[in-house]
Amino acid sequence: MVKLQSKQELNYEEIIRDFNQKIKKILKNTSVQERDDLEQEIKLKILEKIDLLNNINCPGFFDYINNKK
Amino acid sequence: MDIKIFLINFEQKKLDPVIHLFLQNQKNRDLLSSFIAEPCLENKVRLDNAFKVHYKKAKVTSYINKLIHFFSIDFDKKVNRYYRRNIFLSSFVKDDSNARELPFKQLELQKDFYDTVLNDQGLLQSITSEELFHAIKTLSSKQLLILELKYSQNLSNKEIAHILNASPQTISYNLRTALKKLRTKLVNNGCGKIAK
Repeated sequence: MVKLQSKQELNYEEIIRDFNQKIKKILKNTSVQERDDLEQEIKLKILEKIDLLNNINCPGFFDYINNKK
Repeated sequence: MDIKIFLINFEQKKLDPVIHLFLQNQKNRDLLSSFIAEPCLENKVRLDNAFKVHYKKAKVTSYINKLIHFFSIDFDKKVNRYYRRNIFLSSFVKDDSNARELPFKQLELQKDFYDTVLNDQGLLQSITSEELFHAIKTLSSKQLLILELKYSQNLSNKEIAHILNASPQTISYNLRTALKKLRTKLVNNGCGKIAK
């Protein structure tokens, strides 16, 4: 799970640390020569998406329970 | 809000994975029970906030997991497409001198290949961990050769089998024993991290 800082802001370094194992695992799907490239591109992509993730609209507990019946 | 309606909805919602995980945390359960016992605004806000944090964590985790998964697939497709569409010099070399046989001939010429593997570039040069280096030195020459071909030259079991005049099953077996041996060596040396 991703750790959130006090203001619910996401920290890029922490995300990368948390998902490092997953990334390493997924690198095995591609050939050895391409692994470094893929790793870098995944990290870049996550960096790009951080803002988007920070602006996720989170429902409160009751909104969530009442909305999706 | 009406607590009864809430509880009815809540019972239906209990199987929802987000809620389920949320309530696995003792703190969150405490917040919920304190709200049910005393449904005031303050408790509600606290519960809401805890849920928001949880919800965001869940969303971000699943988003990034999916991102990594699908991005790697796309990336692989992209790379394959690139190599398919572009012709490289290396593919010509492979075509006209039969790539499968080339390493084999080289090996025959080079009888001290084992020494070069040991002293030269290749696999051993790329090892940074001292423990792994010592462990790898204890392998037999055949095992080392297979490891070298497999991980340094990046050949498939079938290709290695062809080069060494053995069946792919034998290679696979040898490779597995070699890796197993390395693993036990590393674990015995108290080095839990296994490089491969």
